[in-house]
Amino acid sequence: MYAIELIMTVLLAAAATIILLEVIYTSRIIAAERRQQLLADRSIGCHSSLGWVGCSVICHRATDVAQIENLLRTEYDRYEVIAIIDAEVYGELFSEIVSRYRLLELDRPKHQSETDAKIRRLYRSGQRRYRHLVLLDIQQNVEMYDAMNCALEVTSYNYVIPIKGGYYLRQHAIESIAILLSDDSEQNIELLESLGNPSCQIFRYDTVIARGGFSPNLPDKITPRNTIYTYETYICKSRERQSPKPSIIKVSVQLGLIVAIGLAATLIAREGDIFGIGISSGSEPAINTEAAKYILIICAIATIAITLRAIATYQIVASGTAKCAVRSMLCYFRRLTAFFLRRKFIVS
Amino acid sequence: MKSVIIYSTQNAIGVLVEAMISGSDANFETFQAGSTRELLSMARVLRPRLIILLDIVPLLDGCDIVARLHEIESNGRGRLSRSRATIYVITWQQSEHTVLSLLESGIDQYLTFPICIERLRHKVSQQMTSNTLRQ
Amino acid sequence: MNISGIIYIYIIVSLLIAAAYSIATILALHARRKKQHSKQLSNSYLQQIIAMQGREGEVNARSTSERMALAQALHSIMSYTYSTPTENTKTIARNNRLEELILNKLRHANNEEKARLLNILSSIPISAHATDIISKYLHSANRHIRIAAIIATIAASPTKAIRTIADLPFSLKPYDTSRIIALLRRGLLPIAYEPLLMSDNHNLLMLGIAITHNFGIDIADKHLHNIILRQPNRQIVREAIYTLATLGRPLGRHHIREQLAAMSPNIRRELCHHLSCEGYSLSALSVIFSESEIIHAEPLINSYKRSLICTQSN
Repeated sequence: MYAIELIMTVLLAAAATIILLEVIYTSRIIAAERRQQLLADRSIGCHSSLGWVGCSVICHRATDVAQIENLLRTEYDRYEVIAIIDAEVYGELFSEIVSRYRLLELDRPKHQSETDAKIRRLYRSGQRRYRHLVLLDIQQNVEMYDAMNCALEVTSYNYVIPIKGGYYLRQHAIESIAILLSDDSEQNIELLESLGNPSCQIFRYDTVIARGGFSPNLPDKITPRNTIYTYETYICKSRERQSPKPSIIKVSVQLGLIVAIGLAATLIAREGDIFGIGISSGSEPAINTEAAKYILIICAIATIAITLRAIATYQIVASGTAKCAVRSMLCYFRRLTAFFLRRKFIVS
Repeated sequence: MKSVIIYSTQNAIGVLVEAMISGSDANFETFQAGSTRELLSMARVLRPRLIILLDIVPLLDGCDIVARLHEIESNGRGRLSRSRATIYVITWQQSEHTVLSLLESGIDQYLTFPICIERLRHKVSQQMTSNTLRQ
Repeated sequence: MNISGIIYIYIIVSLLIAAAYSIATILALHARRKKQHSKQLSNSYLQQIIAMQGREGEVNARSTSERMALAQALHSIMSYTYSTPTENTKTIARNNRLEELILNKLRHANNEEKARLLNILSSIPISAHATDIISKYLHSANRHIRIAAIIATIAASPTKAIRTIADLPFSLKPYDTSRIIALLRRGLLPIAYEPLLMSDNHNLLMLGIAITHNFGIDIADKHLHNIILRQPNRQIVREAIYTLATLGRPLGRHHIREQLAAMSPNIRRELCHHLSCEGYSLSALSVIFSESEIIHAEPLINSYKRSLICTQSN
């Protein structure tokens, strides 16, 4: 019994902490989303070359042409997409990209480094309108971080955004990033980390080079003073783009359920006399106190689920992005543990 | 009746341009498309005389919207029909690279925001009443 | 208190939070529907105002939401067009008391809403009283409100634009200058670029360089060279060099090479790529950069040359 009570106490404390964190981070994500929307609305005519900030997206193992199309879907001028594909393994996709974007194989200078030697071929487009796309054919069995380091050899701009196949840029993501980075006139920002989506990290090119290239421990090597955290979301997974919006009826049903659980818990508490004050003078509780306790535990578990769900639903409606509150909470825990454990760079 | 399709991802701007080019003496109908898929299916059905693009991204992301529009007009037979739609682009971008990129894509006319209502109206009206068919 | 009591209290508090969020979700969904309706209303006002161009007519809105939609419609028209007759705009704004409406809403709005309302104010004719109210927001801690206030102030008093920008207590960021340029493109500001390029004021200098770049003013190159020669501020020098590159001017002069030599390898590499894309030849680049720096530029330049040859042969 004591063990159950202890477990319940710990569970409730953890749940309360999670809910509190989710409340805080949901409000921050929604505020960031509104700011981003404001920038997007007011950015007419302001998309070219903000402070000469340039972004290079390094996309490792693009899954399909739709992803390449999405990555090129920006009007920002100083921008490029470096797609890394192994032509021998993904030959069909490779050929499709080459023909669609009229890519030409370029003569490259002799290998400058060991990393450079892993690049089989390099393609750029002969057409001006596709000049933002670079395609790298990398040798087989090159690890992701090494492949990204190969891409660094041909990067042109001062900020690098590594992403994986199956991930898409949100609308106006590049413009938002450029506005944020261009505010720093001294270009001291070495790392821009999006807490809305914890896997999104934007590195300064020479920072990555100075610290030996991409590696799982890269964020650890960067001074926290030169790191900016933002709650704006720049990246989403392909399936998240189509997240359905909840209807008023579903939310009303949810509200009804909340009221029902509240009433049930109150009834159980009263009938089970859990506060020991008696239902009426001298009478016995209608429900055994122990049984009432177990029913309340079940109600508590249901409450945790419904509360998290209610907060996430609000976040979806208010910001239009699914699951970011949960991810940012996980990122917060990661940041807390960073004091004790080393931070990891994981590409999303 | 002759038709004009306006493509814009922002509905308000599409409505604004539609209002600019329409008038009591307009001898054409205007339609709005909010996505490239919608634009292509409308073009297939309506065979418009003029298409106005308010967003240049479909021209730069590899979807090659102009070539696909021309393909619709040629009915897939490899030859252009007698009347090919004229494609105008209106955008905020005005750098040389962007202009050359857009012309390279095959558009016919490039205009920038902010735009003069009278000039646009006159231009579109001329285009729609022109007796010369594009080859 | 026993554990059951604690569980019960936890349940009630959590359910209250969940209920609050559910109600907030319902309100947000309702607000979204209202916003849709407001957008439709705004579109309808757009059509009415455009149809009125060059003719006498009235556009009237009664309720607060209708007046807001009308203000939004006016703002869209003024943002995307130029040479629109101002008489109609003044009449509409006056008859529907749009200035009063927006100033009232400004008082109680949150930060993002304040910035949005100030942006709308930049498109409707406002009185001197409103300009005084807006000037308070020039010192806001929120940068979006600050820049929206700058735009609204400049739009309201275009003749005082230079003084307003020069007197700002903070440095304009690139996004801020691009917003001011957007106003210029609407033909609202009677600003000449030369005095800006000769100014010692940081904000005016940055604006002058941005104007030169945005409008492709080739003849401003001598001013840009002076800036590169004399300016101690690295950021301004970098802006001037990039602008010269965008104008396609030669960059081989001694003072430019000196300034470039003092820049970081990262910036030099970026500039090299920028010059390649701008159409500079390898020989022009080899004057400015070392062989190791232009080694990656050569394939890029060659790829563009190839495209040109293919086009010509067709």
